[in-house]
Amino acid sequence: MINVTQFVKPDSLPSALEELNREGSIALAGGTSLSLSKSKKYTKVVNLSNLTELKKIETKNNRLEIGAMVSMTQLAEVEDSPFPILRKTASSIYSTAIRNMTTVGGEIAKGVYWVDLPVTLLALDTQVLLQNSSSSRTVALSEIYNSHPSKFINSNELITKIFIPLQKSTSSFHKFTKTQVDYVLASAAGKAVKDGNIIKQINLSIGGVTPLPCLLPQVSSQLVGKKITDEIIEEVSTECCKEIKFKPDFRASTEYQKSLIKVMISRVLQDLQS
Amino acid sequence: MIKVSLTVNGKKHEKETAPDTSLLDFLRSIGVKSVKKGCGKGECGACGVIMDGVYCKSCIVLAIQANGTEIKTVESLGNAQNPHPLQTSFVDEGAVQCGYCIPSMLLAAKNMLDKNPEPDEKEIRKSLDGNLCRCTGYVKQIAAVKKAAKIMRENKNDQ
Amino acid sequence: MNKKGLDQGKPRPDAKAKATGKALYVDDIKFPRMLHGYIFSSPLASAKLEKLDIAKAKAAPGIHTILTADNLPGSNRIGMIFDDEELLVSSRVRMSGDRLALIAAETQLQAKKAAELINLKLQETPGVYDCREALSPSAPQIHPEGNVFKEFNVRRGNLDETVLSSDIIIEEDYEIGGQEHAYLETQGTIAVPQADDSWHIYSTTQCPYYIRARVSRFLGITQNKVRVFQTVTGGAFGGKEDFPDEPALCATALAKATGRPVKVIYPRKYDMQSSTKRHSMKIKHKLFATKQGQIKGVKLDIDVDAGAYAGLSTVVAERANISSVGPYDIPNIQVKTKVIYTNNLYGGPYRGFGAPQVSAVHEAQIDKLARTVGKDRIEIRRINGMSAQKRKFASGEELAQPHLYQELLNKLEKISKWRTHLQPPSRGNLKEGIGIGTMIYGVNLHWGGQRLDRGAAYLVLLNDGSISLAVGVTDMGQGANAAMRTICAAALGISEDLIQISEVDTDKVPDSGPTVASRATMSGGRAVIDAVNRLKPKLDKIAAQMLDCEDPGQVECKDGIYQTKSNQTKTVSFEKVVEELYLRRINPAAIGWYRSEPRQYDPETGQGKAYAFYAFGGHVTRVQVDTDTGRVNVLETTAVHDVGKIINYQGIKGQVHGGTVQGLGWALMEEFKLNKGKMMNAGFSDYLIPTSMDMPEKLNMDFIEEPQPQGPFGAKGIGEPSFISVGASVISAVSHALNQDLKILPLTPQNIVESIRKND
Repeated sequence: MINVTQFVKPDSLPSALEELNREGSIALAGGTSLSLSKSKKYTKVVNLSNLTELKKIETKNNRLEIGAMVSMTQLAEVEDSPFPILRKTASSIYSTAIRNMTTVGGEIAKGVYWVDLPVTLLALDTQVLLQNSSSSRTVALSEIYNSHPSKFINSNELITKIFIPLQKSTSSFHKFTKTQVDYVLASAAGKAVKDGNIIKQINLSIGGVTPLPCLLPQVSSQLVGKKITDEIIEEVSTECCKEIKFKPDFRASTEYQKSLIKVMISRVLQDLQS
Repeated sequence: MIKVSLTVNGKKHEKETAPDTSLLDFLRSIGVKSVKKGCGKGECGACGVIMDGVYCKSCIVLAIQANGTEIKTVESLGNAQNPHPLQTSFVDEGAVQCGYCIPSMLLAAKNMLDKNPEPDEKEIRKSLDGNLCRCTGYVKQIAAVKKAAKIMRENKNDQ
Repeated sequence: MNKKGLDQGKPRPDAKAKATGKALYVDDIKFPRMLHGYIFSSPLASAKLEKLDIAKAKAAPGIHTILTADNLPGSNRIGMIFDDEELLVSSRVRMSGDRLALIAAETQLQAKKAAELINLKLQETPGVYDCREALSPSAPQIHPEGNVFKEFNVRRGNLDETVLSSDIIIEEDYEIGGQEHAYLETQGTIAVPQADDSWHIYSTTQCPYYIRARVSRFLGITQNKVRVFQTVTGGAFGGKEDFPDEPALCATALAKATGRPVKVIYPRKYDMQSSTKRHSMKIKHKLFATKQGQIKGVKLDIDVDAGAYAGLSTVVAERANISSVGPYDIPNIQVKTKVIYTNNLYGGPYRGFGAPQVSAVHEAQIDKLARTVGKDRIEIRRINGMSAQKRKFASGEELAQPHLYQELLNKLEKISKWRTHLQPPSRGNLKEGIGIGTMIYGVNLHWGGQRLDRGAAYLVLLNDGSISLAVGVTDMGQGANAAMRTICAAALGISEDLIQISEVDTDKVPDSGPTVASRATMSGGRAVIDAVNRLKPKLDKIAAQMLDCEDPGQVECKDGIYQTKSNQTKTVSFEKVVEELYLRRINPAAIGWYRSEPRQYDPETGQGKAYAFYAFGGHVTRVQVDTDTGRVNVLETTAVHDVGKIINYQGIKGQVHGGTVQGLGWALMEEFKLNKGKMMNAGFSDYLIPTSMDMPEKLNMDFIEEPQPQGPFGAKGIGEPSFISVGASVISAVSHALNQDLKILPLTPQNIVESIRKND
């Protein structure tokens, strides 16, 4: 941050995108990560906090639209959310003061192993609207995370909104930390569309143990057409660890990471069972 | 260097600062010493301020990010002669030991009570979740917030 | 519980300033022309210093001086008890965080940037990072004297296993982890050179007299040239006993070299990575008992990981050694405690001073004995614990109040509703358990430190009847000043509001020793009473004359009003009596002094009088263990302490709350992740301490108040006792929940899951 010479706070999205169009620009959402950045490559900071149009949560076109500048506190306080797990996830993150500042866009763009919101968003089939001053594109969050936000999103692009399809489904999120303010050790989320007891479509995702949160397409596909039983839960939660490339973590042994993932996935599946 | 201009407890301040200066370091450099540095990384919670109505950790807010904002620190609550009910309750309940975490914790409680005047114990605990205290075990602080909330509700009813 | 203290129910004297943001901690203080100091330190724990080129750094903007071992303006040998530590490394790095150079600059940032320009070359050398491996003859030797630098023993009775008529032998090996103090205010000092070649040192500390002694030694000047002002101290817990001397020496060195005031504030990460810690210990415990559960003997081997420097480790180990059999009268004892150098972070004082580690072990062994002989865990303690009949401590001395241990057990059992929780519900992966831990604590310093067991108070009666009180014990947040105020007011019979007391200034009061070992109330309080006793007869005499009473022994002062005991209609105010004292030009000031009674003790056998007196304490903890994740949820704790007399009721509750939650942190979540001696988790997001969300749902407490004649108004001490038995109660509860014997602390989720797996 040391080379920043310009600090702007645009009042509209178009002018923000215009500002971001120049080299060396970086968007500032909540600032909780950027304020600690030691990077020397930025010369201009574009503060998005005046963009009220990005602070809305709306239901439109059979989908939930969440502005990128919606804070975790805001997300945690939504009444009658169609996805209670969004509230659960948002309120589980860090501490009050940080939830007040961190934003949906920021949580996605960070691209680190210890984020929680993307785990839930992956399970919910979230689409991300990326805009620059001249064009926009909507991509699946999973696509961004299959790459890396820092690679996938161009430097002049901004996450402005996310879309979550409204669908009759059940969903669940579980995470494990040692204290409230601990970085996540392991987390899992799931969403299932069922016909009676039979799974029609299901997404399982995990976080905390891989470089980035990710979906588990293999075990998810194995569940389609089946009923979730205790045997299936045991089988899937064991099986899924084979699909995961665990990253070394000085806080936990790989064996312990595995056992936690197993527990988190089991708990998610138990919720989806009912 | 970038010029930062902001209001602290109603008083305007303006100063040139390096672009990577945190709001915490900026505030301390202009003489606001009630905002404490316990880690500088957003982990301990001793540096909390209310910025434009939002409680945040000033060590992970850039000073330039706070340009044009209204900052409130513990001095905005009250002083020794005219303390805020939260300050009175913290003092009377024995919630203050070494005191290092207290100014920020008072602001966290204030910010929560502004939104939720009748919190239960769980909500109080949650509102203090980012304010580490090593002395008290949080017991008396939770009791003090509960007591202050009651006093504030009564004061409001009296008006 | 319906108890109250000696206090008048007033808030502590410092609370208001702290709650309004007015209290000034060391980093809040500024001096004209003040420079900022920075410590350039070693990232490796065992290395040879090959190159330290500061030329480039010296030329950086804002730099006033850079000091290395070669140009240090003072003595580089700074060891506390053993001469084993340098202020700046001259050739060999022994610990990660060892200081290599000191920088003084106009701003902190400039100093930090200059540090990046230092050209450093370290040649890593083989280190030793485990205290048992350090015992091997082939292990690298940290210091020339060898890795075991001190041994302590207890030998009582005869532990000849062939002679002991024991049916049961329980032998286990325990691993007890260390702990970071995690005071919210990091270490810091300002050194201010004075025009007359004397020095003012401002420091966050619990032992300003230590700083005075070491700074004067460092500079080669007499102690009267150094004046130390303790600043408002943001928590200490033992971590500001000896360690603050190091930042003080750094600031002094830089101030000496530049002739300007220098402030050194430790950033959190460096504070965690270099400051002293609670010692980790490996303890072998062998217990001999009859099948009725009667303990015949114990044999202990305690290996203390002291880290790279001795510091105060021997003093901590001395307490661990003598406390290691706990509150049980055991006829045959053999304890060997080894204090061992490694390349880990060095150990130091931390609330409990070695007692929590040994308490966790002796209590786990007692629990195991209970299970082995089929007795209740409280019952087995009743049988073996101290009582009116069983009076002897490990040191062989007879205690004055051994029966209080039985009272402690009764209270713990009753308040915790022990019996109703013995068959707890178990729902799937959630298992509940209840556990007990008890302890004995020798209040004040051990025989080995009795030369420091002293205290002073300076009391001045001002001519308006107000009082200026200075005491040599420090308030580091625990509330010592509130206790001193209460004792002073009670001894004089006046309102606490008349008394002004603040942080220690070494020029006001003689060296009162360290504020440690839960001795503030005892040693400071006794000194205050002594000061009062020197002034009170003068006041009583004047009051008697003013009340037309012939016998000064017949007057008393209550709530600031003097009366005669027989005629209570005539009164004169305390203020008027003091005014008269001034009119008569009688000396209105007094120095009060306390020293503990000299004691006899044989360090070879650990037999004799180890401490001035003793306090018991205990915790019952109820937990719910998630066997899937290993996470422990603390449902309820009950703390009972034998405190002699409650001085400040609010203060004592605060100590018990804080001690309990800090103990739960140690027992459940606080863990060092060391990689070749370097702390990987330096910071509060990886070194986790309890948050408001982690404390127990219910915290019960009670106190036993049977006065101890040596204490002020009968008081003992509470700071450390409040912590000591928490860990033991957690091991006991989790072992109960899981129905297996746990032998490790902390019981982190991973450690629990691994223990369950091993047991399957």
